[in-house]
Amino acid sequence: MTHHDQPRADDRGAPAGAVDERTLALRSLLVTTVEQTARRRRWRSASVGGALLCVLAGATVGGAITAAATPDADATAARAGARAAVQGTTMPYTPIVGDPEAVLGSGDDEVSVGAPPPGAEHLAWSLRCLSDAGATRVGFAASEAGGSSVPSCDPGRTVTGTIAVGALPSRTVVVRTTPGARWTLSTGWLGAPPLPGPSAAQQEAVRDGVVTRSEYLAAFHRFQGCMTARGESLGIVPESSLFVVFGVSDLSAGDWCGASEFDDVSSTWQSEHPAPPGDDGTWGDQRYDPSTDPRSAD
Amino acid sequence: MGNEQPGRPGTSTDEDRVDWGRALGGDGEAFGRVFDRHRHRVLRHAQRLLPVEADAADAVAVVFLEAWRLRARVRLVDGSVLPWLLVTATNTARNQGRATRRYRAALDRLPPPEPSPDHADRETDGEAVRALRTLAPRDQEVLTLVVLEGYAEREVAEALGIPPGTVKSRLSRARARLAARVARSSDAEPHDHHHEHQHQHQHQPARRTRPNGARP
Repeated sequence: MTHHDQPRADDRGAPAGAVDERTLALRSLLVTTVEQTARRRRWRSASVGGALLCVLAGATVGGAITAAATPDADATAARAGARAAVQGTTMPYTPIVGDPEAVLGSGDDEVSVGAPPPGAEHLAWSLRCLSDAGATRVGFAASEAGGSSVPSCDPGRTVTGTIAVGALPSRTVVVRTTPGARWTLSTGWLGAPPLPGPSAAQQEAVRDGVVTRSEYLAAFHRFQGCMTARGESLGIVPESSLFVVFGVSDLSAGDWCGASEFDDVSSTWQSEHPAPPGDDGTWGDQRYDPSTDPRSAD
Repeated sequence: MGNEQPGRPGTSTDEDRVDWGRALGGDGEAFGRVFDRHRHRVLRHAQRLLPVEADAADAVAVVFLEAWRLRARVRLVDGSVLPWLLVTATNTARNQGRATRRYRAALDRLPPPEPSPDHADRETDGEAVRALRTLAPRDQEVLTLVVLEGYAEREVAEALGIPPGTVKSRLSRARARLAARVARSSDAEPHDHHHEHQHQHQHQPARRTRPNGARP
């Protein structure tokens, strides 16, 4: 389907200088919106890292224990750690469908993953280098798409990735690395994350397409309540800034409560208050002033 | 805006896959590149459904803002985000008032769209396209992706999240309805109505107004 994405003749002739002012402004708005979201979620991201580290550490310990009791230590460790390695590519609550597999290999190689089982939505892979390797890539046969790579791969380093079942270029995972460099490749199928849809209250808040300040704060309070009910209180969170800033220690609870009570409302509120071009990341920290925001101040 | 340059054959879906993944990780420039690659196609499709130029320009902005807001639900079809964008453009055109209300503040901050060079030059106002505007959104979706954009039924099925057989039957019915509308239109309209219609659209006033200091 590649040809669909190529610009038509009338698209191709547009030099960079011909881009109109509105297009440039819209592009800047989109870039800023994405970057701001990332900044706002930094605390959550840190939690993701922590969660992944825990999972991967578990994989290492489990593999080492098993390896000590068997002659083929690497192979046994790989099999024992396959599930943890696959889980480590995604959120802790994402279900694994079927049994992950692991193989040992060296240099360039190809590994068949077979057909996706019912309920599988993504394929996950995790390649762990066992000896020094240079540039290493994990991808798919017949396509350069959908892979991941690192410029060098020290022992213990992993190359991970996931790809949607519908986007799989082939059912063969291809490893390209330094000749003779040893590795373990774990693969497994992931199901849909068990996150709830928006609650009736959240749906009501966004139903008319506008989120007011009171609706925004009410949604945040429901989110706080949901977190507290799950044993993950947010503590005291100041609510005077344009965007409420908070930290989440339990990522699963945060994603669950966010999906149910807050994410759609928060996105809409943030869209209603876009940062100006050149924002240094402090736009959302400013004190909220209802007198400058008559449309949303109710 | 370097992606204004011609695309390299065989790489665009790869680029989408990579850039979409990076954008989800917070790389704003990667999302910008997705915008660069697909904004023309989204605008062209919006123009088919929304004859007023300012509405079509707003729809493009809304489609990409929605792509980010709903990023967890975006489906890549064979690595490309374009089918999802086109479907979203169809839905945005259908619910234009509601869709733009959510982003009114953001849209008001954008410079107004530049006037179209000549509305009569647009490929969007033939009889079939005008008939397309009168069809139900489901018909618009499938006709746009299969007939106008050339996607295979399997790909459309992925984009819409429905079985390929449903795409086939929906397409068949949509084609029949489109043909009936075109035939009815041809019977009812005088031959020179087309030009008159276009002329009216060309002089539609832009409806955007600037806020008076409402934003910080």
